[in-house]
Amino acid sequence: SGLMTPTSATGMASGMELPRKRKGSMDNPSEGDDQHLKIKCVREPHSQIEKRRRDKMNNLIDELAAMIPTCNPMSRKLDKLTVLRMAVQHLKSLKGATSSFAEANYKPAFLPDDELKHLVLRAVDGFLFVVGCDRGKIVFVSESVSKILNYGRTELIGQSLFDYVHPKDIGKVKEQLSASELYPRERLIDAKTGLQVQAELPVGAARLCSGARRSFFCRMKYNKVTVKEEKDFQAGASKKKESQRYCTVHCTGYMRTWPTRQLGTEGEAETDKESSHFSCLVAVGRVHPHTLPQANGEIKVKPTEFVTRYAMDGKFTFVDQRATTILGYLPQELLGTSCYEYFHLDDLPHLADRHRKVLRSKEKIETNCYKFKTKYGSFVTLQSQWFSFINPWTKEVEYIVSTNTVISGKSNPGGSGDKSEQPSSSKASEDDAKKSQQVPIIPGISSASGMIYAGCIGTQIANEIMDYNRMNSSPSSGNTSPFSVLQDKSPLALAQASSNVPNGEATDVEMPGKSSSEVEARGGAFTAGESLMEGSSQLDLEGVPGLGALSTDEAAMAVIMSLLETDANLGEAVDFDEMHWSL
Amino acid sequence: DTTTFITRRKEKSRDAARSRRGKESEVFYELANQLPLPHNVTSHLDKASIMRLTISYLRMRKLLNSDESEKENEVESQLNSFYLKALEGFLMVLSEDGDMVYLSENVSKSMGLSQFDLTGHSIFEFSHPCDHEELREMLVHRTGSKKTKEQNTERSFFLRMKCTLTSRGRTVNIKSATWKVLHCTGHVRVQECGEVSGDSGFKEPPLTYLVLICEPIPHPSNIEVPLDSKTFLSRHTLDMKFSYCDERITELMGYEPDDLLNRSVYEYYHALDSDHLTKTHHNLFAKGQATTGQYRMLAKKGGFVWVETQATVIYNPKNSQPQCIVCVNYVLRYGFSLQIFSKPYDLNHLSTIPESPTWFSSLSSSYD
Repeated sequence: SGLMTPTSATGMASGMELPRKRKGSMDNPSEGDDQHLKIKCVREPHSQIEKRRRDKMNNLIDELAAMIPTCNPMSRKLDKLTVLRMAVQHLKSLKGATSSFAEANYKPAFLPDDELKHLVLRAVDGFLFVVGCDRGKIVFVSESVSKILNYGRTELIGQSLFDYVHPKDIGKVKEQLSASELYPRERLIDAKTGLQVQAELPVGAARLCSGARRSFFCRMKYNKVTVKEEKDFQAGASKKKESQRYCTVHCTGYMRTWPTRQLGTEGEAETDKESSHFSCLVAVGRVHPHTLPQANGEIKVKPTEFVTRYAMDGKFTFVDQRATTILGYLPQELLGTSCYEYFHLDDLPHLADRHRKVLRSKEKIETNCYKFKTKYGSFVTLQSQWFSFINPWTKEVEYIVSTNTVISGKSNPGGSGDKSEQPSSSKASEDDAKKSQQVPIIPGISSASGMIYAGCIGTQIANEIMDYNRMNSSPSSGNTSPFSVLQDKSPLALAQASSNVPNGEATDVEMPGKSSSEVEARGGAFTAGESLMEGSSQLDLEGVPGLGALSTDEAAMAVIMSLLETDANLGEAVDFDEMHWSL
Repeated sequence: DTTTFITRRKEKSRDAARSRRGKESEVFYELANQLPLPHNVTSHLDKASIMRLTISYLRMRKLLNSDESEKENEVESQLNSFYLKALEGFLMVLSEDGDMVYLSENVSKSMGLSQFDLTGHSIFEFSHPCDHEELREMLVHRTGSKKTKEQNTERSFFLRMKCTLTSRGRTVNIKSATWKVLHCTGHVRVQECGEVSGDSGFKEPPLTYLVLICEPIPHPSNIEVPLDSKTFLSRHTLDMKFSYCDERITELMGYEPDDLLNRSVYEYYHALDSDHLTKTHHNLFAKGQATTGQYRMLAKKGGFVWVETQATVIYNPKNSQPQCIVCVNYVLRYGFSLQIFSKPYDLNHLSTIPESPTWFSSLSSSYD
């Protein structure tokens, strides 16, 4: 067979009729090969079609034979006619067995209604209910309601539906049951443009007419009473008041009117004054499996994760949208800012060390738990896995990928997790909180000086490795890392930068492989550094020429860059006095 | 002479064949009559269809046979037919290899094709080839080992099926059928065949089948049901940025429609739901329509609302290119989430949080 002409859905069908060949194309090959080539769909010879039909029929016969008990055990294959005859017999025997056939008002349907109902309940977790539109009285509810809401049928019939609907959904359900004028105007969408169209359709009568459909969600009460509780109750023990449990039920159905006389004992005289008809909603309420109340009330979830990327210096270059729900910031609020601005003070040393490590390692680096400041001032505990992505050509780190996991619950080993999450419970966080409100009086540097200071850390670390790579020499002494300078010296080191030679010797730079204990030991310097910022203007960069014209971030960076440069080039203790603040 | 002999032989053979065919037709006619179908249907069936329907009927009997038929009173019996009518779609039973063993009568209301056109055929003949792989996965049910005892039998997926119904309700030829997205939900079931068949003494293997409710997703231009005040409409560009939002969102979530314009809807999804919603969006773009199930959207002043959304891709009628996405959003209830910002994320506590947090009073007042 040739290619099938693709037409929307039909191109995909098998057994589709092939288009007839063009008249004459086969007869006159001389007409040209192109014509022949164009007509790729060629009609099959009749015998081919017949053969297929026969094969198909034979397959069906075999299938049928397999379904008939009397045919099955036959070892030899039965002929077509016999199979068909036995099928007829079999169907006749089935007819006698099923009760539905015997019903007086038997309407032939492939499946009788009761069996259909069973099938429906096998497919959906739901129940049928019929409620009066007028007052919401439950006229009927199916047995299956006990599986869904844990209430017995008899408990519910005759009750008002509104007693079992969440108080805040009662209004919604009333809207759906009624044809009141409070209906929202028709909100339609134009199929062509996707734009909303305000249709001025008369609302009301059409809504309530028999057959009109409904589809809505509402929360229904779920009966939590367990056997144990019932016993307690009976024993007279006071039952602890628990919050009511609800489950969200998706109701779909239609309006139906019944002449009242048909209702018998099930319905009372709740009729419309104007007619003797009882207007109801007939609906199936379904729960989606995952919303069924859990037996133990626990929700098992994967730990919350989000991904961020940093440039070498720790500035955010990518923020996963999941971060917003955890940190409060929208991605764009974080981009371009340094991660160090958000790390808790106590965690800075450790994270700086990790930062260093990840830039020098091809492996994934795990951090301890640490606190990250959210938009609202409080902290979330995170634990991250960092990984440097190295450009295979330049062999430089392009960015650092950070997979961050939210850690919940009590304190975690390491890091600042031991401290409580409340901002006000530790002195450090108090300072932090105070600092963020204060406006330090530091000329040339904005009120967020503390953060600027922290933000430089990343830059320093980045520069360290860049220089290291540049120098390409083995670890040796003499290179002073401004990082270690800052840590090593008294808090006044930076303050005296413009006027004094730092006391003591320049220490060895933090070379790769050096233990991180040194870093952590110096952690104290940061706290001191923070207090440095708080009230005093010890960091006096006023005298520094040209700095005033820079933004605060750039200014601070310039200081450190220069320190770096000088160190790298001179390889010895620096006389800061003589440094030229070139930009 | 030879010619006469051959001719007579041919005649005999022809007569025999005719007789056979006659008998065959007779039996087929009888078989069709045995099917529980209205006469006007059975009299028009071709042989292959009679076969298909008979086989399907017998398969269904097998599946339902072990069911205890409850004693129903008359009222309950009357209501049996309501179940299907109340549902928005049709019922479909699939065998393990994808044969449509049963479809409820109302399939024609959704798809145009009738119950008899489809029964006994393979679902693969009537569904979009790109959905076949997914379909096969849905049909599989691993049983036997202890580990899989807890295996989930629920099924929920989107399937494109051939539809011969136009938007105006007319029926077209199968050759002009279009694809319609159906949300199929249900369960895989295994039917044990307890009886030992025949004399051979072997027990038939258990039958695996899939019972599904297949519901079309209402097209936003043609919503039959009234939308209550707890729903809002939104329109998005193809990258899911808001291009329009119903003003109802303000009383439901706090946002002014303008707040949202050009913001990506992903910014408002709860972290835990983003994976699931991304999958839903893939479905939406691949198939043209999707529903989300229940998920959380961030409310303006913190906290979130549970929402269920029906999304539809709108195509430009001139060039059939996707143009925008329209969402019908049903707000279900509010949720607590202060926990996210003031305390570590501790989801084990979520279930004991009362439903109506007091600090939501400004948002929830519209519910009163």
